[in-house]
Amino acid sequence: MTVTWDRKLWAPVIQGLSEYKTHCDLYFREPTFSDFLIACNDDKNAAECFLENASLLPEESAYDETTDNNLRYIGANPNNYVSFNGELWRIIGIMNNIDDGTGTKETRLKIIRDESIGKYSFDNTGEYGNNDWSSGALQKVLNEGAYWNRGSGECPYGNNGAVTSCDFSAIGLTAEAKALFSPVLWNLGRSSTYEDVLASMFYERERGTDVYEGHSTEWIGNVGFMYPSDYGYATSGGSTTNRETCLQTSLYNWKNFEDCYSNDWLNRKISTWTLTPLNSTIVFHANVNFVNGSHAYSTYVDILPVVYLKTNIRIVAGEGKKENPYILSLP
Amino acid sequence: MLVNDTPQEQMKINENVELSIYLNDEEINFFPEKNNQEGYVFDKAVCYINGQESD
Repeated sequence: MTVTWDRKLWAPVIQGLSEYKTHCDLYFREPTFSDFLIACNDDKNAAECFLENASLLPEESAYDETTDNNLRYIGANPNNYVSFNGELWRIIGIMNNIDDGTGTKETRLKIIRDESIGKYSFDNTGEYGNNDWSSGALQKVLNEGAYWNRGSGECPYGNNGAVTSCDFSAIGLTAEAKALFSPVLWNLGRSSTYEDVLASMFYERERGTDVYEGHSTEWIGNVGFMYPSDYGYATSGGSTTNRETCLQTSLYNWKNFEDCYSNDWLNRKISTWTLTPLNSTIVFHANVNFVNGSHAYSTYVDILPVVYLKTNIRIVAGEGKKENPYILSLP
Repeated sequence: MLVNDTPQEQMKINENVELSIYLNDEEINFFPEKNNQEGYVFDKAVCYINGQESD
């Protein structure tokens, strides 16, 4: 016998009833954010539902107060897990004014893989590597190579064209996952300084046109990395150093402010590539407690793929918890 | 599928079935308000057939 609750009829649905005397205790409780999120998805998309109910997540989300005023998950461990590609990913935020590559601006959920897919060079060209994502070797692995095709092959690993074998046959993108996201325009502006850069400065520079001579200012594609500003805006701060102070502190100097980096879920306690270059060869990466950079050929930096979900995605189940992640669906 | 949608009938599906309603673990004698910002949501059901807990 099964008992479910029909939300539209607002009545129990009992199936498999026997002829014996039956007593059922039905338990109700106060609704949570995920209850509203799922109920809302009956007639709105996931991004609209997040924005509509954001006030119910005061400790786990914050608007970044940039020109796009994105809504972001913040804190040490927010409930932002989502089941995607048969594995756990996490929602960075609900990002506004995302160009779909044709000039149309959309509001999209931006998600990042929870675990690294390995350590590889951003690029392996020449002595230091090419730090232009649009033509980088790792970009090709993620968007047209072994990871994209859920297969195996060679990945950039070192300088002067060095590679290593890489096998994504169990963790590469599935056809089902690819149906849930689509290309966007990724901004590739650089930050020409590193010690003094606040999250807000990174945000502006990432979207700027200052690049190394001949490099691209933007790239249209599917799979990228987070930006340094994503890392910065994910902090909730703490009791000694609050979020406002963290956001007024350069991401390079966060290493001196434990409240900033330890209350930041995008601090994965590893080094992870971002998309953003510094000069002609260095790429910024997020570390255990701050943001700095390394030459693009470096082999000790982990890979956390990032995609933007399609606008019509619905969240149909789950609580955003690691053990009960949100479940995505197309309408 | 059995659905009774008048308040008087909600608590008794048929002569063999009885329902008890709990709100935040406290027993009440009506279905709580439909899901909205001031309302409540269904959490779970535990059923007993002839006094034995059902799977």
